[in-house]
Amino acid sequence: MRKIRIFIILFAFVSLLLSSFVFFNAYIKTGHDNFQEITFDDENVVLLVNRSKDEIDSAYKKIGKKIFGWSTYYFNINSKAEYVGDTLMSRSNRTGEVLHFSYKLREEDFKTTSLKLSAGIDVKVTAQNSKKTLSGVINPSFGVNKTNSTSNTKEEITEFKIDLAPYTRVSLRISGDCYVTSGVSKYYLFGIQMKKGDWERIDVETMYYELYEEILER
Amino acid sequence: MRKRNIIFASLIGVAVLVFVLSIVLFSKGSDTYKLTTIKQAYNVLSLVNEKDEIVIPIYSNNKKCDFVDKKKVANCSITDTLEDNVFKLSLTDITSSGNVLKISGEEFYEYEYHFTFLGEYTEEVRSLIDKAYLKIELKEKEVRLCIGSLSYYKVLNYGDGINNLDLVCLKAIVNELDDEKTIVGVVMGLKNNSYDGLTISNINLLDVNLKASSGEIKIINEVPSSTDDISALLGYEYKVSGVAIDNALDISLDSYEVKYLLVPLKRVGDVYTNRFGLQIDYLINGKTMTYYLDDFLYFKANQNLKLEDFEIFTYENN
Repeated sequence: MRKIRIFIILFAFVSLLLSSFVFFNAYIKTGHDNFQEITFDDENVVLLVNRSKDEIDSAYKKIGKKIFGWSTYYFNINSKAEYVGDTLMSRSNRTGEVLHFSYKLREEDFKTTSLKLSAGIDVKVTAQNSKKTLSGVINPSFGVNKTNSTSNTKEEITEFKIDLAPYTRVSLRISGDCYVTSGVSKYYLFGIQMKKGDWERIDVETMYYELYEEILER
Repeated sequence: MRKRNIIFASLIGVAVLVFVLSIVLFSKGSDTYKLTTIKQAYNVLSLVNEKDEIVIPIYSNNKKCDFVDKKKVANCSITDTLEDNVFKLSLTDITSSGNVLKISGEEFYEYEYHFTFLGEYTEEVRSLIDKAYLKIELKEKEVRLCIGSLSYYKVLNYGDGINNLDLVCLKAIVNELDDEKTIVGVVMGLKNNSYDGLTISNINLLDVNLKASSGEIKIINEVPSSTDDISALLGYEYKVSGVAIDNALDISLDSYEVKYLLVPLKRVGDVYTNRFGLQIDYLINGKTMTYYLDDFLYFKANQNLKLEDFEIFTYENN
């Protein structure tokens, strides 16, 4: 009985270790939820997640001092890129019968703006229209301490019915064009630096939906 | 002293009258209001015994206009220009979405009008209105707004239920024409899911604004990117405007064979569209069968609305 107890405790401990290993290694390649891949038109531009610590540190040194407010150094402003988004829907039929199902896609399932902020800052970046230059640049927003936030305004719903053949999987994925802006910012109060952090914003320009079916092994 | 009292009382009386009159005028709102719509492609595909609903956004510059009061609405319908085709509607609700549209600096508030189609059908219906009007009759006036287009299909069933034909891939080819992202083609993967051979005989897009140029359909080996140039994919200069080559199709699929088709589209209507269903007819064992996809959103882009697209009507407020 005692051996069984030890075995259970050991098993639980190993499981916990394994799960934390998986958890700490589960990261998003682009640093943004919903975006699996981002490829810039300009090969010299890279995502914030791919910038080295030295590069970010030297960017901080380039930020001009201010008496009050935010001061920013931009790595890139509205750089055009193509993205591959998440799979929005995936449905499998592992039965021998045709499966009839109805799928409703809400636009809120995929956010059109993604903001990645480092833990040190809490800011609102204004870059609504991708083709316009940044206005308002970076505005402090005290109170709520968000590290990542997303927003979306207009909603479009699509609903379709589909027959799924036996042992097949149907999925809906999304890709398109986007604009990426990133930089580092410092916040000054009476000329003293109070906060600093790096950030990146993605504004989605187009969303292309693709429905595709795969055969499952029996 | 008495004279002074009379003057004082009169002044108070005039002030009260002005105050009351201003309250009355203020509560009544302005005497006129403006209405407009964003033209859209409204597409409906459903079974003959199904009830259809439609939501039409209408924009008003006056939150207190009689038009947004459901109790004042008597009759509603969607018609074509000459009112040869009339779809009677029942207004179920008017809701304010909170969205505001700015046209030439003026704010227009969005109201969503929720309707149910009133017609009852026992046979298949195919009604295409390229210029559709929403007619709303109030007790003292009538409002007629161009809402875009209506493609209305009622079918007996969505297919044979056996699933002989399967859609294994669907996506759009979107090119930029005159600074506007436009759907110029559809890529579809079709699979014969049966032991018998079948032949695709017709592909129809369920939107009055677009037509498949069936004579130019190309069988492709690789699925292209949505942003690939349609002319490069077809191998010749392709124009999305103009007349579709309307040849009968004869694309055969052997048992369990998959073929990918590039279907070039022709824009035949004026309304911008990014979502529509499909009808694919095929022959199997001497019988014609139909596959339907009721709705699919192919793409979405941040398009700027042009001022010339808006028709603004002014009405008296009652």
